[in-house]
This record gives sequence, C-alpha cells and structure tokens, in this order.
Amino acid sequence: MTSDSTAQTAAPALLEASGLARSFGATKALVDGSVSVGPGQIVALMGENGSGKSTMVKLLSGILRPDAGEIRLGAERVTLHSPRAALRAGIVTVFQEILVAPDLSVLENLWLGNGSPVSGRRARAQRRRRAAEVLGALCPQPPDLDAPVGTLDLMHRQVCAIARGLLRDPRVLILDEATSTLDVTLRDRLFAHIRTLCRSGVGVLFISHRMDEVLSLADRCVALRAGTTVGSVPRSGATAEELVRMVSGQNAGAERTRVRSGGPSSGQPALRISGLRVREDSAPLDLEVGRGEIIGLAGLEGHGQDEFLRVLAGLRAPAAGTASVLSSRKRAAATGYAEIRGYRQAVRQGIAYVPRDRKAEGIADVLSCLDNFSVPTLREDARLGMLSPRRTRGRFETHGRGVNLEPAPGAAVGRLSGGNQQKVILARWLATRPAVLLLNDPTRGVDLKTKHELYDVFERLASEGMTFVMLSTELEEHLSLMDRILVFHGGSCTRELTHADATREALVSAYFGHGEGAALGGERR
Amino acid sequence: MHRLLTSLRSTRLGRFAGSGLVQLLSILVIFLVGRSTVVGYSSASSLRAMSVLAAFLGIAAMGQTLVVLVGGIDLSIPAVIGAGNVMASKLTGQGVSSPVMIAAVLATGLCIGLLNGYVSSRFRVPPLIVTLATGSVVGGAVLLWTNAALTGNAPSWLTGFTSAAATTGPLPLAPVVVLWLVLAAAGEYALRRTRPGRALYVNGVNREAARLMLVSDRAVLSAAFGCSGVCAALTGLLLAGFTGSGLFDVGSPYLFSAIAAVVIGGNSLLGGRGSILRCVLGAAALTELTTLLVGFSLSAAAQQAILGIVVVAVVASYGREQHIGGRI
Amino acid sequence: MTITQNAAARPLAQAAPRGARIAGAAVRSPLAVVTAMVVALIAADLAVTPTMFSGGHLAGSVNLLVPTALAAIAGVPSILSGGGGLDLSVGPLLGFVNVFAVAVLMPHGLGSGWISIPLCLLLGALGGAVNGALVAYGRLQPIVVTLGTYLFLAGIALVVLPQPQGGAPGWAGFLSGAWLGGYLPHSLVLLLAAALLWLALRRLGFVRLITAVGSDTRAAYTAGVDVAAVRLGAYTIGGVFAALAGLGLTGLIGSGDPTVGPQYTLTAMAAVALGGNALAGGRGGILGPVLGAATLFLIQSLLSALSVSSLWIQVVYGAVLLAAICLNSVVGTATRARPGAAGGA
Repeated sequence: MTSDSTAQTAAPALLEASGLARSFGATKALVDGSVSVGPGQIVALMGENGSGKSTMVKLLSGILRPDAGEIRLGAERVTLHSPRAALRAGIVTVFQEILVAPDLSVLENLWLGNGSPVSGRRARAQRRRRAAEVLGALCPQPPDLDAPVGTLDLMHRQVCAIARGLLRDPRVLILDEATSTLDVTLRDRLFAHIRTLCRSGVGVLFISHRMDEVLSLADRCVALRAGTTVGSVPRSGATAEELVRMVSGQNAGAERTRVRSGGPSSGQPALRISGLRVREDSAPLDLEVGRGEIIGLAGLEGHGQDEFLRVLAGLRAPAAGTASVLSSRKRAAATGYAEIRGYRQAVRQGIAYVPRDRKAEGIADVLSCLDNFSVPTLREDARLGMLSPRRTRGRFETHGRGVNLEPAPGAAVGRLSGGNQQKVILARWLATRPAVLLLNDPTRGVDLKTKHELYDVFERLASEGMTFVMLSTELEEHLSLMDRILVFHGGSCTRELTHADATREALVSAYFGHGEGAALGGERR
Repeated sequence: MHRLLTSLRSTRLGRFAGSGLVQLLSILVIFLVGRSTVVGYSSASSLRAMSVLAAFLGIAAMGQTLVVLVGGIDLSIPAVIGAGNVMASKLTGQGVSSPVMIAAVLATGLCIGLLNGYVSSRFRVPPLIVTLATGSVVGGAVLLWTNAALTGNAPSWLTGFTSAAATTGPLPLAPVVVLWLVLAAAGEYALRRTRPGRALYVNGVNREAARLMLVSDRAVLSAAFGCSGVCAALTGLLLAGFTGSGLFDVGSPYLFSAIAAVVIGGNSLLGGRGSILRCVLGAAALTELTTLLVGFSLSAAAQQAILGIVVVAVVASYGREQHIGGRI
Repeated sequence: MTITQNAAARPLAQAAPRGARIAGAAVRSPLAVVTAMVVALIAADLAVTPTMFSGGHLAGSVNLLVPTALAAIAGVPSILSGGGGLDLSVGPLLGFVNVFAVAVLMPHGLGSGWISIPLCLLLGALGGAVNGALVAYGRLQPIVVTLGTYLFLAGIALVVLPQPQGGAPGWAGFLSGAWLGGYLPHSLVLLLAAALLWLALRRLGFVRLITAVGSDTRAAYTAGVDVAAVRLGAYTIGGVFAALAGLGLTGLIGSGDPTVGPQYTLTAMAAVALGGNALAGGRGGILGPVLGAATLFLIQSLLSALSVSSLWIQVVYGAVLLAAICLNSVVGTATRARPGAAGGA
C-alpha cells in the first residue's frame, strides 16, 4: 500500500519515511505513515485534519520522535533528535504557523540559528547580500533588511520564514501550508523558485489543502487518512476527483462544483454602507447588502478587505463614511438602522465576527468547548447571577448540532482539529442569534470535509435570512458560494462581481486592478 | 504512582478535588510525619493553632489566587495587610465603632486593588511591577502614618474571633477559620458558577480572545485585584486580633508565603488554570509544613531555606511546562 | 521603514529631515523616559547639593550605586530570555556572595583577590546555573524557581552567618577607595567588568540569541537554536553579574551582612522596569536598567539632601516607578506591531 513503485529508479530517495507511528497518550495520531521524496521531486502530502499530516511533519522536522518506523536520508537511517538535528541533516521545514522573532530585524531573522553567530565584516556583508537575493526572488517588493519583523504584515513575515528556510540550502524542503497568507503573485513566485530548486536536485515535500496548488505543483501525491498512508500516485495519472477520493475515502461529491442556489431576499437591506473609506486614500464605497445575501471580500493580501471587515465588526474606525446595520433593537434610530461604532455595540446590534487567527484571537485553548462556546451568551444561563451548567450544555448541544459539531462539551478546545475549533467558534456566535455574520477567512487550515460542511451551514443559514460577509483567500469559495464578490485593490473596492459574472479570469484580473475582460498572460488561475 | 493517582482521580473525591489530589495526599503525609516525629503535633491545641495560621494565610492567598488566575501577581499584598492591620488598630484606638472600622478597612483594600487593576490594564504594564510600585507607596504611607511604631489596639471581639482556643457554635474551630472556609467556598462557587468567574478564566487564558468574547480586560483585572486588595486588608484586620495592635510590618512574611501557598496548591502562574480550592489546600499544606519545621526546632532562616526547596520540588511535580515541541 | 501594502509600486515617501528623524527616534526610544529622569534628578541634586560631584561625595555615591546597578544588570539576561523569565534571586545571591567571601573564604585563608574573586564569580555562576537548569531543562516557571532560590539563598546566608561580621577580604578595601583624589572610584572597575562582559557576549552573538529566544521561542527553536542551552546561559550570566554586585556590596560595607542582600531584588526589578526593557522579553540592554538604578539612587540622595525623613523614600520610589512605567508604556505604544495584527496596519 505504501510502496512507491513507479518512482525514481536507481537514485535512492532523498528522504524516505516508512512505517512512522506516533501517539499522544491514548490518541494515535500516526499509525503507519510513509512518504518518499526523490531528488528533484515535488511530493504533495494530502490529508484531512486529523489524518496525521501535521504529526508527520513534526516527525520529519525533528520536533517529535517517532514511536515506530524509520526515517532515511539517502541510504542512511537517521534519528532526528531536534529541529537542529534535522536542519543539520539538510531537512528544512517551513511551518504552517508563521514563526519569526518580531523584535529582531529581517536580516537577523533570516539568519537565525544558521551558521556561527560570530562573524567578521566580510561574512556579514555576504549574509546581507544572500538575504537580499533570496528576498528579491520571492518578493517583488522585498522588505527592508533592517526593519524589525514585528512591523511587517503577516504575508511578509511568512516570506521571511520561507526565506530563512531557503537560506539553509536544503536538501529536502518541507512546506507545511506555507502559502496560507501569500497572495497569488507571491505564491506563483514561490512555486517558480521551488521548481528552480528542484532542477538542482532538491526534494520538496509540500502540504496543502488547496487542490489547485497541488495540481499545479506536485509530481506525486501521497494521501494520509486516519494516520495511515493510503495512496501514493503520480500526479500526471490522477484527476482531482481521484485525489479527493483517496484523501477522504468518499466519492467525488466532496469536490463537486457548488452552485449558489439562494440569493438575497427582498425588503430592507441588512447592511447599509455609505461613503465608507477604509483608509485615508481609499475611494468611498456605497453598498447595500440584502438579507440572506452572501458577500465575498476578495483581493490580494493587504489591499483593504481585512480592514473593511474589521470596520463592519466595529473593531476599526473608518477614515470616513458610515456603515449601518438594520437593527432589531427597539432603541434604534428612526430609520431602523444603527451605525456601527464599536465592537460591543455591533454585537448588541446583531453582528457577529469570527476572527482569522483562531489560536491568537479565537479560542481559549485550555478551557473546555463548553466555556469557549458559552462565554458571550452566559447571561442566558444565569438565574440571579448563578449559572446553570445544564442549561449551558443544552444550548451547546443545540447550536453544536446546527454546525455538525461532534466533540464533547468538556474537551479542551486546544486539542481539537482546526475544523472543529472553527465549529465551536461558529456555534458560539450563532448562539447570539446574529443578523449578520462576518467571517474572516473561516476555512483557513480547515480540512476539505469540514469545509463543505461549513459551506452547507452557511447556505442554510443564508436561506433562513442571515446575512454573510466573508473574506476569503480561495478562489473556489468565491466562485461557488458568494452572491456577490467585492474585490479590493489598493485599499478600495474596485470591482463588484455578481455570481453570474464571476469567473477565475475576471476575479484574478480584478485582483491586479485590471479592467474587465483584460487577459492576463501567464496566469493560470 | 502515576497509575495510583490516575485511578484515585477517577473516584468521586478525586473529581471533586479537581486533581488537587497530590496536595490532599501531601497534607495527609505531612500530618502523619509530624504526628510521629514531633511531640504534640497532632494534639487538639496544635491543630487549632495551625488552623488559625492557615486561615490568615489562606485569606491572603485567596486574593493572590484570583490575580494569578488572570495571569498576574500581586506584590502589594504585604503592604495592604499592614495597612489593614494599622488602620484597624488605629481606628479602634480612636474609638471608631467596629462596623465602620471594618467597612473603612475593606474599602481601602478595595481601592488599592482597583488602582492596581486599572493601571495594569490601562497601561499594559505587567502587574508584577505595578503592584511592586503601589506596594511601595502604600507600605511607605503606612510607615509614615505610624512612624514605624506599634499603634492602637484591636477591638475586643476580634481577639476572641481569632483565638486558637475559640469555637464557633458546635464546631471546634475558631471563627476566623470558619470565615476563611466560608469565603473560600463562596469564592470557588463564584469561579465555577457565575459569569464573572468564567470571564476571569477566559481572560487568564487568552486575553485577546476574551476581548472578542465580550470580556472586558479592565473589568476582569479590576475585579481580581480588587478582591485581592479586600482579602489582604481583611487579613490585616484579622491579624490585629491576633497581635493585639497595629504594626506596619506585619504583612511582610506574607509576600512570599502567599505566592508559595498558591503555587503549592497547584495553580499555574500562567493564568487560567487553577482554583480557590487548590489555594485552600496549598495554604493548609504550607502551614502544616512550617509548623513541622518549627517542631524540628529549625531556625527561621533554615525554615526559609527548606521552604525554597519545597516550593521548587512541589512545582516540579505538577507544574512542568510542556516541551516546546509540543507547543508548535 | 515598513513595506507599503500596495502591490502597485509606490516609492516610500521621503522622510522628514534627518535631524527631525533622529529626534523622533530618540523620543520613541525605550530609554527616553529614564534618561530624562536621570538628567532632571542630577540637575535637582546639583541644585541642592552643589558639592555632589566633589571627590569625597562622588566616591561615596558611586560605591552606593554600583551594587544596585550591577543587581539591575543581573536581572536583564533572564528577563530578556522571555518565557516569563525573571530572576527574583539576584538579591539573595549577591548577599550570599558577600557572606561567602567574608564568612567562608576569609576564615579559610582564601581571602586573596586572585582566589576569592574567581571563586565568588564561580559561586554566582553556579547560582545562576541552578536557576537556569530548572527553568530551561526542568521547564519550571522562572518566577517560581527564582522564588524558591530566593528563599533558599536568603535562608542559607543567615545559617552560614547569623550576625553581621567584619573581616572582609583585602580587595574590599581597594574597592572602597578611589583614584584621582576621589574622582574615579575603584568600584567602577566592577561596572566596567560587567560592561565588557556584556559587550563580549554581544560580539559573540549570544545576546542576539537570547533576544531571539525571548522574542519568539518557537521561532528560535524551529530555526535550530538550542533554546534550553541559551536560557541556561542567560541565567548563568545573570548569576555572574549578581556575583559582581556581591563584590561591590562587600566593598561598600566592608563586612559580611546576611540581611542586606534580599532588599536588592525589588530594587533591581524596579530598575529594569524603569529602564524600559520589555518585561516579556525580547528587547532591551543593560544601559536602561543602569539608568534606572541611577534614578532610584538619585531620588534617595535628593530626599536625604532635602532632609526629608527616610520614611518617605518608599512612597517616593513607588510613585516614581508608577509614573515611569505608565510613561514608558505610553511612549512605547507608538511603534510596536505585534503578531496578530493581520493584514493591514
């Protein structure tokens, strides 16, 4: 089942992991994981959350040690005691989480842990040069080498993390969802750079949830399911449906092209935006969002869509203009609309915001699912100040069912998969019975199966009258889920596409600020 | 040993103790050791004396626990204890009636605590430093007020309240001990079964997420520090009954012993993990231990040295952080 | 110097004239508040005591300041290394070094500078290393570990030397003297040694490693840094600085006193906070804490020069510390952008 039969012939695999197993207490995270990367090969490792992918990556990068199985580099068997050992052996990993030291400069981060800390002037000059080279290859506008990394946005921090890996001259490069914050330009440059690396014999192990990335980059796909490698096929032979079936064990239905069937209902719009300028230099935006409508916010990273969403959530004041929500509260103005002025007030008016960074802003990881679910709405369970756990559990079950949530109320949220954590957060906000749900990249780091479950939930809620404004970084989501897509460029909303008009080409060209219908040479998406 | 603990944990008592089982066991063990090695350790009078000492420590440590649960630490506790002690004695000495005196003392503690909480949250400064500063100001103020001398006297009922020989109705415990246990029970209930309690935990674990969950950082910190201030002032007031008059310095032993009690009880100084129940167990264990060391005729200095080792040993048994690999 | 958010090329706007930029950076520097305080206090002190910088006066002042400044420096590496790092035991450790020199080394005839000074430094390193090992390899919380070692060392000092006792080694007398008619106190040698040690560590890149570990431990770990070893090193170095402080204390009091060490802990912590170092780790050097120690010292001399009762010192210390940390935080909020600020500014 795991043999890599059609692979390279005489050359031994650069990295070969076979029969890896690892448990955490009673949980068997990895049972029989195998993967093989030959020189110059790009292998995609695919699997749902809970399939053992991240454990596999941790084993290969030296963060954890396997309970069983072996890892071979070339022909030699190696034991990777720590990330240091893995790095010394030539295995360089870029992790899903963006791991950079904010107080150090870009240059210092790029050379962190690499080479002797003492250096003469010539060595320092050389480091500068090489750092600038790598950054220039990855980034059309590389950040200043002496700027503290803490002042960069998420995308450029991830570029720094990737650049740091590249500067170690890897023999094997492992990229664990390392493109999550990169926009289309940077992603493509990265892929081009990877292909160059492979031509010089570097092997690449590439983990991604995104089918389009896998299809465009990989030579070979390895699928993990429930801790076991269930398939390893050359990319050229496989279709997307086959890959999905391999990964999820289900039929192709999982990657069907969804078609948006619903639409906004008539009547008063749920959100009214007038003259809104997110930044000083943005163009004013006027918009009305109908009840039950699903609006997508799209664009290259950092072009204002995140700020726009935060303005709607009340987390950020706009530079000018107002956003108002149709208020269900009696105290609303005569017009029936309440201007969004602050976070708490927005929540009171029926707006709920699901943040992007689950770990930092979404969950209290050591507390139970019940706590994470109930805190904003605890008032409903209190009689004379005293909480009734029974009532809370009842609400948890009700709203949990609404999002297909399985885990027990007492489980610590930090141990759940990304998808399940997202469900807890969603249940939490659905319990406030919001009229408008603002979602900031909700399916990031969520496996395919859960993604589609969430899409079903969103569509159902929309058909019941809930309004959605969803920032998404995946073209597929925009194309299949949204009634309308607002594309942001340079801080302003420059295009508005309806579901009918939305095509890949139209979207991507809008990302780059090109006019309607302009063809973009070389862009496959 | 691990398997024994795990099986014990699944019993009813184990679940109640919230896996403060190690502490329960150590209380038992220390008691047995003391009983067999120190004459009179387990006599009724000795136990009652210990319980009174544990009550003082326990009340001070309760406030510290709440602060620790939100990820902070309160170094102003000794100063506030001194303030409470001096205020109680001076006011009584000047003829102020007890209810008024009590209200004044507790209000003072509350105000100092609220200030700590406010400055910590408003200016984003680590509570360690804020309380260091306010503790210095309060301590210095009390020093000035009393001119570093003993002052005033305790109300007569207070002496009876805190006497080791006293009883509370049918219970063979001094009223101060009962007060401690009642406060602890109320506090624990509040933590588990009220909104502010849950809000406290969430804030202690992840402040940003708590804010998005509509938990006000300022409110939580103010509440936690406010309670800490009240508890400290109360401890000072009760100590007046014990010592008979007011001294600015009476709180200084509590600086580290309150933290030690919290830590030995198994509360994590990172925040969000722990409970008042654990604090009660910690205070009891610590008091037992110090009494035991006194029974061995060890000097105060030697006791201190041993306490240092014990603190590290206890935390090493339960409080080891995850290996960094596990946090990625 | 941050990258523009725009994918379309936009040249960075030309900044204000160079002088204004330097001035701007100076005001935003974490050292701004404490430097301003020191300058103001020196001015005030000079106004009240014009002879403050005269030979006799100066030597006495410096001798008082040196142990405090070194204690403050001793607190820096542990705080810098992050992970809740701090060292509560600096006070008792420096006190124990003092007790060790007077009550252990001298009676055994080991009072010669060539023997006793290295042994004292070694003792400091050992104390720091114990802290470091428990924090880095035991993975215990630093505040708890150093609380334990605080209690242990404070107690042990009293056990070894229950009462203050004279008979300090010869170099203590040297340290209390001065060159140039009192204008260059000998105790400055200790500060110089500390500064050289720190500079050497910076040159070796070790300070950058400690900063990286304090700034983002996981990033350092996955980049191949041996985080535990770096932390162990940081605490050990802190212990060496504490030992230097102990030497300074011995020179100051010319005897062994087991009760005086623990007081230095809180002063050191206050000095570090005043100095603008990030208390969560990842940022700061030794200059700030030294200035912080100077601030505290200058306040005390000002108050005693004004014949204010010494009972007021605590109140003033506390108030100044409170004001300074609030100011530091207001000044510092302008520039930092921590992770979690997703997307736009």
